[in-house]
Amino acid sequence: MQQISFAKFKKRDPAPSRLRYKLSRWMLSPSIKKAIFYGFPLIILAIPILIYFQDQRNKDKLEEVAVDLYRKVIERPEFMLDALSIEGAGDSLNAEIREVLGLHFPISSFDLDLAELHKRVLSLPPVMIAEAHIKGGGILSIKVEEKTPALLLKKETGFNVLSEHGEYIRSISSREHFSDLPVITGEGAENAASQATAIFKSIYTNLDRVRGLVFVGQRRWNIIMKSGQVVMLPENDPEQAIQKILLLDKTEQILSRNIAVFDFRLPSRITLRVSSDKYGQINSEVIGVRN
Amino acid sequence: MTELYHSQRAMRAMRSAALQRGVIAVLDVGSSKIGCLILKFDGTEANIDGDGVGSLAGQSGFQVIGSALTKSRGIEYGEIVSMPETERAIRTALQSAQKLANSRVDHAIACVSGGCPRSYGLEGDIDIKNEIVDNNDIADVLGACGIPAYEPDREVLHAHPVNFSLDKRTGLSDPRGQIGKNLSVDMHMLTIKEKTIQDLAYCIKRCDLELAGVASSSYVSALSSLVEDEKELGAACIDLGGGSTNISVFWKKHMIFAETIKMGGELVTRDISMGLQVPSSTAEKIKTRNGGVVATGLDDREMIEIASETGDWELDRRIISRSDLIGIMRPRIEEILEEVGSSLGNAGFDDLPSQKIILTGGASQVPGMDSLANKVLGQQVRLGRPMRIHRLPQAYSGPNCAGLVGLSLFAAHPQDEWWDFSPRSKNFNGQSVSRVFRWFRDNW
Repeated sequence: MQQISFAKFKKRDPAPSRLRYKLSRWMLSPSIKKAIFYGFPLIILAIPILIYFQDQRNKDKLEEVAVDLYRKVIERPEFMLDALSIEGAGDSLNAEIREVLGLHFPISSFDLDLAELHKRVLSLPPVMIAEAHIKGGGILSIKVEEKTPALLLKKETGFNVLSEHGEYIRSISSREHFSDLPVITGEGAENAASQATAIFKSIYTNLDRVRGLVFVGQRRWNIIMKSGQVVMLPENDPEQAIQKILLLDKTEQILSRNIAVFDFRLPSRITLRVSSDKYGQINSEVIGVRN
Repeated sequence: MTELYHSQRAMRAMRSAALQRGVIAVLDVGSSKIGCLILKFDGTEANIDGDGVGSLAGQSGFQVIGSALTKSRGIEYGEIVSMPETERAIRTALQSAQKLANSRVDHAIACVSGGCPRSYGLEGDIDIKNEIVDNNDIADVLGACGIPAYEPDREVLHAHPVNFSLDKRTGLSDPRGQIGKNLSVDMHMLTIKEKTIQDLAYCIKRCDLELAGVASSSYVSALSSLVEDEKELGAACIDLGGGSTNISVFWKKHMIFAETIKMGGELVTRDISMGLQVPSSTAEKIKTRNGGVVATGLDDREMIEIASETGDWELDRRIISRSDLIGIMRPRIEEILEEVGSSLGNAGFDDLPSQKIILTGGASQVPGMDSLANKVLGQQVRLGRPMRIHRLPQAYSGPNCAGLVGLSLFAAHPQDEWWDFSPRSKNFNGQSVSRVFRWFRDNW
């Protein structure tokens, strides 16, 4: 019989150490239990994925596949647009809209930003109101309403067509298409365009005798007659002054007299100026005019 | 007097907190084994009626989710002799039970068998202020009990009101709501050595658990082994444990006497070990496999090989007959049972209407135990097994786990004790307090 040393056979203490006991209790606490139950599998799943995408080529590959799939879906014929229909625009505006949209059909409706298109169409000066929507049958429909040309603003070279509120529509070099529009000029005239429109409205019957309006000193208007006569209008209430002139013309034919300047700047004190080359020939009719 | 019950009250509060959390551990710290069950309360329990007996005798509503049995260390005769060893053993049991339950437990209810339990019968008597008996009167009459002079190093473990009398009408289990003038109570109080509880509480605290209740193991093993009729008519439960034998006498569904005898199954093992000259582990093995107390002719021919490892062939390869073994075991067990008998005689067990004796505990599994007990203790002896509780493992359903199962029942439905009735405040009686309330209400 061989004696076996006692230490070798000494049994291990079956009791867990205090630290181990505490650890096991901690592991059994509900939050930790949940974290281990869900957290560990998640980490194990996530690690290979993260390692795979550490490589840029893999990332690109996945992106390519995703983009390809995306394009395949959005380029299905159900989503494709084939034509652009523009309603309510003249020929020139029609061409301008097509140019500003810059779309090449067929195009997928997913690639269109309708709000952006709408903004772009609205940014064209002649367009007052615009609507953009997709109609069934693959048609992008754009409805516009043009601004009505009401005034011509004479610039140093050519003219600007303005709406009745002075909004810029387009510039032209000659008046041939817009010969019926009244002309205004002067520094800052476009800002007072609505006043000009009102003035033109009040002299509507005698419009053919008027050559245009000049904005003077950025505050008041002068009417230039075709005969070369000048009517200086007051700053305030020029329509009333015009009424007065028209009344005077009706009763006294004042405009057909040989007077160069009608100064209505002060409505209570109307001044007439005879043309300088006819200074010596002031006739009595001129003097006979009274306020 | 009042501060004595603060710890018991605190433990009751802890118990209800644990029940709210739904998980509680019961811990039977015995001399030969430490058992731990983890109970889960799922709140599906039906209302318990006035008798305290619900469906399945009040065992519904909880189930066992974790269990562990481990060899006890550092405990002799139910008392802790080595704190670190005991702490380790408790830790082992708790850890494996928690692992099985897959749940962490923070409260434990434990039972103690040692500490020289001593029973006292108390009497209290008061006049009732209002005609109808209410909770306050119960608290008053319990407070009026004359406290026996026990040593300062003892602590009250149980204090059960057993019997109430109202105007000479006795035998009331619950006088609340009845009309009378004079209320008296008979109370059973059990004290044990303070140090025993303190040591156990310290060990449990070192395992990061809160102590949510302490019970005497005599009491809890009777809870699980006695049936309702036995508890009502009078019965004694003898828990034959490893290190000590716990006796409790029940009458009117309450424990009226408890005692511990410091003799148990380990003594039998030691006798075998000395008588046969074998190590105690071998002796334990022989005892559990071949043990018995009634020798027959067949036992002379049944030979037992004693395999030990001393190195001496002659010694290691002995063969004894089973009668020899019985010859060693029987006198010791007889002695234990006689001790039990005399203890029961001292307690006045003979005066009870029924004298049923229920044997439970690990040592009651010795074959022939019931017939021997019949001879020593009288004819009304039966072997008790703990009742079934929900999802209790098969290995825990034997009589050796009667304490554990009883402790589970105790955790689920403790009987009313003294500290469950809050005494009326001494300084203010109810009237003046209500006057103060009225004054506050009128002025603010």
